[in-house]
Amino acid sequence: MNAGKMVCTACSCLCDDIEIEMENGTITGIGNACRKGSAFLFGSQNEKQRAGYLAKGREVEVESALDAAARLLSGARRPLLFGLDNSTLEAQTLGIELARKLGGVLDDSSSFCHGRLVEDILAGMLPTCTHEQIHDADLIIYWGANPHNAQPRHLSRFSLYAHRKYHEAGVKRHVSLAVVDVRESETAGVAHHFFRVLPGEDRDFIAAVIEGIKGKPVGKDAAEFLGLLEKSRCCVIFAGLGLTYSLDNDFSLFYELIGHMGKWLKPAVIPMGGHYNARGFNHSLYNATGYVNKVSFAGGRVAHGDEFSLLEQVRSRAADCLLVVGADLFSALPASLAALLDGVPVITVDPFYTATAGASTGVLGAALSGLEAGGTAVRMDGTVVSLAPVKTPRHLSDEQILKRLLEKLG
Amino acid sequence: MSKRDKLQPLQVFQLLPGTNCKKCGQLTCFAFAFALIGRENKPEDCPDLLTEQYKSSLDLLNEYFGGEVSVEKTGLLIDQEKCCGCGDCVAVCNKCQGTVLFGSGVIIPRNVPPVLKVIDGRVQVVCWESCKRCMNPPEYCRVCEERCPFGALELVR
Amino acid sequence: MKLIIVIYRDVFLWSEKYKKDRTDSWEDKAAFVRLAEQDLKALGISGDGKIKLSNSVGSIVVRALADSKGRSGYGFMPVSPLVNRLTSYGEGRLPNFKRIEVTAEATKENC
Repeated sequence: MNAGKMVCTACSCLCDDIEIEMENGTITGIGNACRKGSAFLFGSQNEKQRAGYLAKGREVEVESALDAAARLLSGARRPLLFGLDNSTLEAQTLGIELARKLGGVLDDSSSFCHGRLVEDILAGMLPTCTHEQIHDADLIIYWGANPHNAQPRHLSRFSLYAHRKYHEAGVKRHVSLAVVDVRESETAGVAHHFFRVLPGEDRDFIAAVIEGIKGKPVGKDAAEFLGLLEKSRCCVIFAGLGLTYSLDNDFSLFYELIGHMGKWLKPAVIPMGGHYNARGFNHSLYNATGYVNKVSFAGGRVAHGDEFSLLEQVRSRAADCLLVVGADLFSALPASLAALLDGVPVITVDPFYTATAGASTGVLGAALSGLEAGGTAVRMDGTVVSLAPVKTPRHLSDEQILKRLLEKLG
Repeated sequence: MSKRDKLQPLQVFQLLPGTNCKKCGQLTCFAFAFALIGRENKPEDCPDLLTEQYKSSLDLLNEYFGGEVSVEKTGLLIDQEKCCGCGDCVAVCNKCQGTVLFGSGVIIPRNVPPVLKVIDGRVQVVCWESCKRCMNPPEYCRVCEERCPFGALELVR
Repeated sequence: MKLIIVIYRDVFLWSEKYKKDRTDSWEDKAAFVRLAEQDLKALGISGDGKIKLSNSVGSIVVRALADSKGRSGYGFMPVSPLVNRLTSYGEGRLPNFKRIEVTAEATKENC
């Protein structure tokens, strides 16, 4: 039996204290990982769940699967590369190179998740901080986020309970936790302050708080929220998908609030990314092209625009071949939109046999990052974490797969 | 997710024979109801409950108070189905392990191994001796139960 | 009855996806909607009742559960491929994952 430490890649917390107990190359025990992480790591040993190498539905050797995928990609006129949120930074760099070589479109889930926030953080328009700097904060706000279900260990490892000034027993609390959400979630249940906003009404709530800052009379909730802000000297806002969707990706009013807050306190915003290296993809593409997503390399030039988002590409049936890396597109998209992909050849690179893999022309099973493959990744707060594998892989890593595809495409 | 409805002593008492036969070791059936909630007794300690007449009562009581051997020792009931392994209880327990010097806010660390640990995605008691409830005199801390977002922990004593 | 459905994440269902000895699919387990108690009463649903949610995109039948903290007019469903039969996407906007307008009615159909 041996025990080792590894980094869990089930969510964007990238917990690096996971203890693994192995017997004859099989995981027998997992320490510290949450239910999500444990299910993910134990699930990686479930052969029924893992993806193999498939071409046109038949099981084939690695080489033929790679050949078939390369043929499909090189024959496509408008290929679309989607995903890479669950790949290491190294694989992402190769993915960008592949999209460039194919002259295709490149996008990831951040175009309908946190892309706008990360872009503005990278451009220096939005103040942010790392998890370590949260120790300076006296107010932690989860806005439209439900970490206990999406990133279960976030409170205990990075925010409230990890805060050095937090002490439950008898000592005056120096840090408050507030939740703004449509649902009285589990996180709201343990928060010191909960503000319920109805779906789509975040904009009205923000506007009311801004009115309050300007000295106008406001409602009870907005006044209480403003009271919290006024008492604070340093506030960290964890922005969840609830905020993005409620504001429909138009954050101008939210930024105005952050601007006002900046007059008397130090605000910071951290987007609560879902996939383990979603933020890493934004960083990689930003460094390569100046944009975080929705990029086209057609004609050897870099172009950016909403027409290059996955949703638009699928809706307008623009793409004639899809390479999906580490994403379950068919489960995540509205069914009416996914139906438009009927007849479009899809190649999936994924450790698990997902609904997307089931609907794909070619499947390339990959090693699980963190457990079977190494590399580096960017945590949700922008910190780079290195992954060291603890298990010998039976599959190629996504980095190796993308490298082989690049070689085959010449 | 709402916390599983706790049975009140009177509700437990209504499921019992009410003969006050003392065979369970308690003086009255009402005392036995309290002992069940505190996990000091098990439903099968009552001989009458084992008869056919009380089968439905026994099934219901077993559902609430059966199994979980370690609970007798610790008094901490962990509902594995409800635990998401977030480790909030582990973190707050570690944070409040120190003894607070009354009035000053100064915390004296106890330097003991952690009571709880998340194993295979669910929290487990690994060193009950470290709990403040095992100190002499005991300190009846409930912080793990209070801070569990899913209501998966319940201190029955 | 008109309802607005909001999708949320559920850690327990997510973990279910990777279970080794999985006999029933997690999609079936995710086939529920949490509604305010007064809405359930208005729809005439009690216990383990079924509800049919439909809009211009499609329709689904799910179990209706009571949510003591729910608000009338709003329902919450966990993320799953099932709920995506009701979601839609219009140009220049985000998909309506967090605000799906549906018509709800009690039904005896199976999920």
